[in-house]
Amino acid sequence: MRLALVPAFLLAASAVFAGDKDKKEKPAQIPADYVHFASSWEAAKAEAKERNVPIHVAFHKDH
Amino acid sequence: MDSSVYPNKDVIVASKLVVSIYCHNETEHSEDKPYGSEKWCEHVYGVKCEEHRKNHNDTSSLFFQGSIPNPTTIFCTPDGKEISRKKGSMAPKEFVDMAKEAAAKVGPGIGQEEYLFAKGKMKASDASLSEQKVKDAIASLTAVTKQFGKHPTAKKLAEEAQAKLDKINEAGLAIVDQAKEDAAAGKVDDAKKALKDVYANYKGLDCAKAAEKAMAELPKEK
Repeated sequence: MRLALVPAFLLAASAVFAGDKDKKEKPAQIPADYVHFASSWEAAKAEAKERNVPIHVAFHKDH
Repeated sequence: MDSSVYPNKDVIVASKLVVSIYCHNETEHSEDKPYGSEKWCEHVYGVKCEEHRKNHNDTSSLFFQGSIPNPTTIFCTPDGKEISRKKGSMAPKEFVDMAKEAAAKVGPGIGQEEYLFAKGKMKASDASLSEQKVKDAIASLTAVTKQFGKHPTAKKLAEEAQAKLDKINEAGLAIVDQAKEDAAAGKVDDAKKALKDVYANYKGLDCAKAAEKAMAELPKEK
């Protein structure tokens, strides 16, 4: 009887851990779609040239 | 802009017509915030704080003399020539209009999703080739040539994919030639096996047709 309970416990425990992992991998703050920003000015220019599209430069703080 | 404009769905759609770069040199906000297994700036998803600070340093002198009004949105050509500029915040519709106008001036261009599709297929073909999965590599490259062969701007991507297909075809033709030599030397079984492999895995390329023809010309088993 006890032996039969061991696999059931392991399954339940792994489900709990899997649930935790999913929560960590997909938190609510990750947007489904968003404005993608290039990692650098050089990368932005290279992609814009290859795609033949403009670059949108978003400036924020000035100190 | 971070909380009202960039998350707007129409802005997200319009942003796919351009390449965006986020330039922000403020150091007082918290360092990269965890989003799942990644860490990005707390203000903008997908950008690291060290990246947006470097972007600011790399671009500010290109577009400003002196202080920089906060925020400022600029659209420029791929080589950095300014097309339009807006100081201060803006409504999502204004951003959409500016993006469309700039894209019309520079284009016709390749949309972000099409571009990522092509890049993904090219990368997948390299991975398939490194694993000797020639059939999968051909399928990935053919998807690019089919989708972009007649695209006015994506010609370079299509040519890059075609050049890779040509190389695979050359490799296939070399196998066919070797198989013919083997058959002439009496190694008919080896030749048949090699030709069958080319016929099955290089479909869509000339070498597959050459393999089929060479198989038909092999000496018949007695």
